[in-house]
Amino acid sequence: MLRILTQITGHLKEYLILSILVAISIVLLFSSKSPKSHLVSKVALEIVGFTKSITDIIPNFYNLQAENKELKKINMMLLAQLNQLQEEKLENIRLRELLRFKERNSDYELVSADVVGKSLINLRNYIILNVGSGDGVEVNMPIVCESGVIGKIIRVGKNYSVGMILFHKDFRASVKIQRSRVDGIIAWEGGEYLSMLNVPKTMDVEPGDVVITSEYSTIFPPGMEIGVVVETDNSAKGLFKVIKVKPSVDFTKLEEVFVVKYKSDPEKEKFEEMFYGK
Amino acid sequence: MLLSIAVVPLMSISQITPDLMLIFVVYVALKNGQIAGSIAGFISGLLLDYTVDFTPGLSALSKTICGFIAGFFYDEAKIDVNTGTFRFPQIVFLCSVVNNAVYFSVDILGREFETSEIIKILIGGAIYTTILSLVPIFATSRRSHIL
Repeated sequence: MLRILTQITGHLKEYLILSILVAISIVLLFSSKSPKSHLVSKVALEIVGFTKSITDIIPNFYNLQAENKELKKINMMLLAQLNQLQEEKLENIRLRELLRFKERNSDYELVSADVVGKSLINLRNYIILNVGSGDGVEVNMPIVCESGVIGKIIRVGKNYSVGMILFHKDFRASVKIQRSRVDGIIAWEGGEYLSMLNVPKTMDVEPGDVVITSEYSTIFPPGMEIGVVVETDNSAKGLFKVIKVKPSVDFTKLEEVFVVKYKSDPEKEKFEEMFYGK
Repeated sequence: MLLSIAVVPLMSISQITPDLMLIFVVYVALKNGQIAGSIAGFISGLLLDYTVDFTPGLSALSKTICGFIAGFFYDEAKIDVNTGTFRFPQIVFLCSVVNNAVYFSVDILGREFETSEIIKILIGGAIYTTILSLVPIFATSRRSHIL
């Protein structure tokens, strides 16, 4: 053991002397001002640069972790901003459509409202709007959007109101087929489609026909789109056709709506009351 | 030393010159070991630096390393074999290649010369030095009939 150690120390002495002599040579080389020394400095600089470029490839894990954390944070912020921008873009598109709708229906005074709540899975389905009596909203005012009729107001608070939508078992409205002017009553009897009731089997109704509100309605202004006929059936028992209507409005995506400040002629209502005993 | 300054330039063949000082360093290393070889290399290199190359440190560095490498072949029992036979020029050739490689490394890395020129100087110089290292062997063989 001692022999090995002695051998190592013996060799160490030689290596030590070599190192000292090499170090002196290098110091002399770098400290002199000869052209060759400049070349040495240039080469040394290149070597240092090359070495540095290699060592830079090996990542510093601590810095990498911190950098990763920071990048994740920035990524989250950017994603949030992106989502917000996308939301604003979509909102912009919707609002433009609403604006166009408002311009098309300039005969009626419209109150714009946001849907702040809705139920679509019950037999009695509602939407809650962020407009109320303070905005001039009253019971039985129609709720519409650029696609068509949504429903009607049934409860009014100061700042909020509740609307009954087409998919409500108690909803009824006088409608007609736009093409053939056939009258009927729109109602919901469950399922994904509405039903057009009281249409005799002899009447001309075809799939693809557009269903609109009729002049007989005391709630909805005439000519507003309800939906499109998707199915007619004459094989059912009784006098009337079975007509299935797909609503124009996609209730799952409802966000901005209008409340139409429409009231039918009070004299007409009074006359109907008197005549039909409503 | 004086031979290096006065005679070597006269022996130049298309820019290739022998390194007499290297033969001396290898000889010292084979006779006395690594430490002596390193020190001899350093001192002789330094002398060359200040008298021939005017680049202090460069020859000192290359010759120190050569002295150290030549010292690896040092064996107290085989001094005569190492210095008096064809083993000597072989070691000289190896050390000369290393010496030239270190000496011209700056030029190689600094791309001061063409690669073919570098190889010519590196190998050509080593061969020339090796050939000259045969002279003392032949000189001693006349006396002691070795081979």
